[in-house]
Amino acid sequence: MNRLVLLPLLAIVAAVTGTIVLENWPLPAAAKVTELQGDAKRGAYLARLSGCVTCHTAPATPPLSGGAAIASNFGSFRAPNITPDPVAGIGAWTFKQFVRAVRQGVSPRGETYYPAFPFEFYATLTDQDMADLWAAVQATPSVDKPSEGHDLRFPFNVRAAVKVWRSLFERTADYEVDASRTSEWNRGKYLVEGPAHCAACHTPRNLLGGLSSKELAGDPNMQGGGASPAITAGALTAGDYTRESLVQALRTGVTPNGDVFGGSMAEVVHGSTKFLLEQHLVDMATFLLDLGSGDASEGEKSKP
Amino acid sequence: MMNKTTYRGPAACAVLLAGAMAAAGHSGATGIVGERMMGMMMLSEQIKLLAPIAERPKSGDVQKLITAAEMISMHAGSAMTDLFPEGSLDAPSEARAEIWQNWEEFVAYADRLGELGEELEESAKALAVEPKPESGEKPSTSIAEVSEWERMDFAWLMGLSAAPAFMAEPVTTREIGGASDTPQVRPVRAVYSDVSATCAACHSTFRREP
Repeated sequence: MNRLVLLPLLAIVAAVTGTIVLENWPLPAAAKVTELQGDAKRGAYLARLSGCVTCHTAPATPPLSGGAAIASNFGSFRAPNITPDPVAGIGAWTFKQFVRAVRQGVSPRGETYYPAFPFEFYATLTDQDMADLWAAVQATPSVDKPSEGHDLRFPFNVRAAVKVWRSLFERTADYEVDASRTSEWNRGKYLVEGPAHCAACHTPRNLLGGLSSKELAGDPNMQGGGASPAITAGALTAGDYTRESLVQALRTGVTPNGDVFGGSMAEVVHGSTKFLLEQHLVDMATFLLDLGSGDASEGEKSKP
Repeated sequence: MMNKTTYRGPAACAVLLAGAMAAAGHSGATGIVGERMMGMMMLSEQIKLLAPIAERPKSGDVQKLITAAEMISMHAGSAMTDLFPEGSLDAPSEARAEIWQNWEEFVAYADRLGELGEELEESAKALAVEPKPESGEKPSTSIAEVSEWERMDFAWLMGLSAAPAFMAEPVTTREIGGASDTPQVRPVRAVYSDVSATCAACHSTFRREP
C-alpha cells in the first residue's frame, strides 16, 4: 500500500483506538455514603480548612462564585462556580454527586476532574464532613455567573487523558491513627496530609505533575512558577520556627523574622488558616515539627 | 520636656535604625534601595514584636503596642512610596517593575498601612481604659466566656461578612474599648490581622518571591 495512504490511515486508527481506550479507562465507582443532617457553620469551617473558599472565589467576587486563574505548566485552571445556582453553579446536583466529586474527583457526568482540584486529599473527609460541606454550599447565596473554563494546551486539554494520569500518579490520602502518638500529633497528621493539602504545594512534583515520595520536602519548580520551601521538622527548626511561631505564622502570615508571606502562601493564610481554631493550628504545627525528624538529610532552612 | 510616650518612640526608632542600617549594609544594598530595605526591616521588626502579643494583648503591652503602631504609621504612606522612585530595581532589591505600572494600587497599600498603624494605636490606647460597670445593667458577655468556636459564625467563615457577628457587637468592643461612651474601636488582633494582610497583599503583587 502507498505510504502516503498508510501513514494517515495508521494515525486515524491510533487516534480512534486511543479515544476508545481513554473513554473506557476506568474511574473509581461511586462509594457508599450515608445521608446525614448537615451543619452549615461546620461546613463553612471545613470549606476554609480545605481551601474551597479560597480557590473557588476570585478577589472581590461573591463566595464560591468561581476562582481566579491558577497558572501551571499545562495552562491555567479556573475553579468553577459552586454556588447553589441550578444552572451556573451546582444547585442541580444531588448530595451523592457532590460527595463523588469531592472525595473521588469524578463529576456528575462521569468525567474526571483535573488534579488542580486536589480531590486526592479530600478522600479522608467523613460522611458527616460531606453533609456539613453540602449544607454550607446550600446556605451560600446563589450566583448566576457562568464558570470560566480552563485554558490548557494540547494534549493537556484532553480531559479523558487525566484518567491515565490518575492510574499512574494519584495518591489518595489515607489516615490511620497512630496509637503511639498524641491526639494533637494525630489530628495534625490528618489535617496536613488530608484536607489542608499542604503537599499540593510543598511536595515536589515530576514533569507530569505527579507528587514524589519526598513528603513536604519543598518544590523547587512549582506549577505556577517560583519555589516552595520544605516544611519538615528540620527545615522549620532551621528557619527558627517553634510550635508557637508556626501557629502565629499560620494565623497571621508573619514569619519568625518578622517578614510577611507573599505569593500563594499569603492566599493560604488569609483565605484559610487564619480562620482555623487555635487547637487545629497547634495540631498542624505539632505534626510538622516532628515530620522527618529522624531523617539525617533534614536541615535546609525553611522560609514558607 | 519630652514626656515618656513621645520619648520612647524615637529612642526605639534610633535603636532599630542602627540595627537596620547594619543589616541593610550587610546585604550589600546601597542608595535608595538600601534606604527602603532599612525601612522594610524596621517595619518587619514591629510586625515581629507584635506577633506574640497581638492575639491576646494585656494592659501591660499598651506602651509596646503604641510604639510599634507609631513606627508603622511613620514608615507607611508617602514615607514608603517616596522610597520607590521609578525604575529603582538595583540588586538586591526584591521590588517588581509592576510597582510603577500599577502605582495607584501600590500607593493605596502604603496609605492603608498608615491608616491601620493609626487604628492600631487607638486600639492599644483603648486597652488601657478600664470598663465602667453601669448600674442596673445586666453584666455583658466577656470574650473570655465565649469559646473560640462560638465566636465564629457561618457568614464570616464563608466570606459573607468581614468580621464575626460576635466581634461586631458592642458587648465585645466594650471589653477592649471600655465604657459605652468611649468611641468603639476594633480589637488589636483584628487590626493586626489587617496589617499583616495588607503587607501580604502588597508583597504578593509587588515583591519577587524566592
